[in-house]
Amino acid sequence: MYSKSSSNIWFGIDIYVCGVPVKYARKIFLTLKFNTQLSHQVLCGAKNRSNQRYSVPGSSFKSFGMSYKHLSKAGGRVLEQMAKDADIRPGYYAKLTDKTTPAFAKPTLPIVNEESRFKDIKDWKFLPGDRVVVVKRGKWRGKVSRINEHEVNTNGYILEEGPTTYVPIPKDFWQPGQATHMANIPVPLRQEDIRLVADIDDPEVPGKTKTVAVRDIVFRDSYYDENHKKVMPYRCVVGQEDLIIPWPKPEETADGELATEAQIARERTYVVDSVVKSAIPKAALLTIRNPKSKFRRGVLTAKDISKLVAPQMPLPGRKAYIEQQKKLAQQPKPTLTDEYKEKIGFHVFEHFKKKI
Amino acid sequence: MLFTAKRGFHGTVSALARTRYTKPKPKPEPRSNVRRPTQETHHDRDLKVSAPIPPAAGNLECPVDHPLWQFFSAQKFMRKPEELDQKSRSWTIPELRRKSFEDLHSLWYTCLKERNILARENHLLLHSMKSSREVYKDVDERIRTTMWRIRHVLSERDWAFRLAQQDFQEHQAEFIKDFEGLFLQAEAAQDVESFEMLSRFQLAVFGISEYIDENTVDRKFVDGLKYLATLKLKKFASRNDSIQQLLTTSENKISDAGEAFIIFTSENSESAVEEACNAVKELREQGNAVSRYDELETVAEYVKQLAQTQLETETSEETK
Repeated sequence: MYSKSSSNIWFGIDIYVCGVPVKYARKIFLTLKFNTQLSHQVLCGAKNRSNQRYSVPGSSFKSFGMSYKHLSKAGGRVLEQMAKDADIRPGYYAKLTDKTTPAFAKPTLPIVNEESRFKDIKDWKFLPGDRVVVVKRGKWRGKVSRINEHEVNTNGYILEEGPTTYVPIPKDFWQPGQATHMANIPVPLRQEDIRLVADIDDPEVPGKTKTVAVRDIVFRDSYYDENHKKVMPYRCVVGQEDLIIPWPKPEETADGELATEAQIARERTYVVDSVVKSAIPKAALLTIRNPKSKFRRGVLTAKDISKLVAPQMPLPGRKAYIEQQKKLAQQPKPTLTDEYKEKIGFHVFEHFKKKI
Repeated sequence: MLFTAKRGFHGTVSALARTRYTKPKPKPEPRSNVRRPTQETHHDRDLKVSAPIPPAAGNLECPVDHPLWQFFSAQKFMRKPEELDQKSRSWTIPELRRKSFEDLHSLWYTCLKERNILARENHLLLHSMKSSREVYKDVDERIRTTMWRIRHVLSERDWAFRLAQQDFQEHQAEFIKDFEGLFLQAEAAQDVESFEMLSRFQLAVFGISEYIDENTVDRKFVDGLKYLATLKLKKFASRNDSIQQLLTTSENKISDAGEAFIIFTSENSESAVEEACNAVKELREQGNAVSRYDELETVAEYVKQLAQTQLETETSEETK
C-alpha cells in the first residue's frame, strides 16, 4: 500500500483514498495538509512553539511521541485560544504548500482561513442542485449548469459541467476505469463568478416561463422546509422581493447507522409523578454534577479575590520605573559639539593612516 | 553481673567475631518419611517436545463473543471514512427532556461504547498511520454533544424536583384538602376512577407506590399510610354502619400503624374494607397495638412479609 521512504503526509492518504474520485482526492489532500499546519498550533504548547514552527508539516507527531490528549477535551479551550493568538505566518505556509503540493491537488482558488469560510446557507447562497450561469470571462462564460458540490476550503462551487484542468495524477489516486496519468479534474468557481438561474413567468407571453439569471438575492423571513428538515430563509430577488426562488431539493439519502428512528425519539417516557420520589437515583447524582465544585462551594479563596478586586494603579514596581523615566526625560540631550567632531575626526584619521 | 562483657566499637566487634574457623554443623540425617508432592502436573508424565508452532494469523483463534470486540465496529480493524455515520445529528435538549432516566441511562452507555470504538480508531490513525485527518473526531464530537446534553437534562430535572419539593411545602395542606373533598364527594358508580386517582395521589404526595415491594418504609410512608387508611374508611363509612362505627370510635382518625396497614392493604371494596375493620376491632380487643417508637420497623416487617406472600402466590399461579 505505501512505501517507507514516502513522507508522512502520504501515509494517511494511501490507506484511505484508494477508490475515492479524483475531485475528492484533492479535497482530502488539502484537508490533510492544512490540518497538519493547524495541529502544530493547537497541539504544541507555548514553550516549544518556536521549535515547531519551522519544522516540515507532517513531521510534527514525531516530536510528540505517544500522546493521548485527543481523548479528552480538558484544557481544549485554552489550547484553542493559544492557537488563535499564535502568529501564524500565512506567507510561509502558503509558499510551503505551493512547493509541496502536486499539480492535481493544488487549489486553483486561494485557501481561505477558518474565520472567513462560509458557515451557513446564508453565506453560501447557492446549494448543490441549484442551476447557475457562469459569468466569469473566458471559455465557460454563459454556460448554465447545476452545482455539484461546495469546496469548503476555498469557498468555491464545483459545477457539474464547468471548467476543468488537465493534470497528471499519481496512480494511487486513479479512479476506477482510468487508464492514463493525465485527466481532467473540475475547478471550483467563486461566488462572484456565477449567478443563480431561475424560471419565471414571462410577462410578454402569458402562460409561458422564461429563464433568467438573478443578479443577487436577499433573505427575508423564514419557514420550515420539509425537504431539508429545518427552518430556512426565503430566497428573494434583489429589487423584486416578491419573487422567491425556492431552495433545491436535496438528494434523498437513508438515515445514518447511528440514527434513532423518529418515532422512538419522539416517544415520551418521562412523566412527573411524585413530589417525594426523585426521578433520578441518588447514586447517579454524583455523576451528573460535582457537589464540591468551586462554583458551588460558596467560599472565595485568596486567588479568587485577587482576580475579582482591581489592583491599585500604578503597580508598586511600576511607580519607581515611571519616576526613573521622568528623571531620564528631564536630563538634557547631548549635542554634537565641535570638540567631539574634532575627536572623532582624529580617530578616523588614525585608523586610515594605519591602513595606508 | 549484667555488663561484664568487654565493650568495643561496632567495627572491632564484627572483626573479632569467629566466622572462618567455626566448626561447620553436621549434615542432617536422611529422612525416612519424605512427603510426595501434593499435586502432580502433567509435566511429570506426558510432556513431549513437539515442533515449534509458526507465528501466523491463522494459528490465532479469537472467540466471536470476546469482550474486547466491543471496541470494534462489526469486528473491523478500522472503518473507512465513508462507512462512518456523517449525516446524523446529536440529540437535542428538548428531545432528551421527554425521556425517562432509564432511557437516558441506556443512551449514555450506547454513546460511550460508540465513542470507545471511535477513540480506538482515531488513536490508530494519529499514531500508527501518522495522519492528522479528523474523520473520526467529527463523529465523536457529535456523540459527545449528546452526552453532555444528557447530563444537562438530568441536572435540570433534579433542580426542578428540588424546587418543586420546596414550593410544595406551602401548598401541601391545601392540596390534600382539595383532593379529599373531590375523592369523598365522588359517587359510588365512579369508584374505579376515584381509586385510580387515589393511587396517583398517594404516589405524588407520599411517594407510596401501588406495587408494595417498590416502597421504602420511612416516616413519610407511615404517615401516608395512616392518612390513606382514614380516607378509605371515610369513603365507605356512609355506606356501611360497621365502618362508620369504627371511624367514630377512633375519633375520625386511624393513628395506629398496624391498623392503618391492614386497612390500606385491603381491596378497594366495601366488603373488603368491612373485613379489615373487623380485623382491626379484633386487634383492639386483644390489646394489640403498635408502639409509636417501633412503627417504622414493624411496618417494614409487614411490607416485607406481604411482598413475600405476593411473590409466592404469583409463582404458584405460574406453576399451575
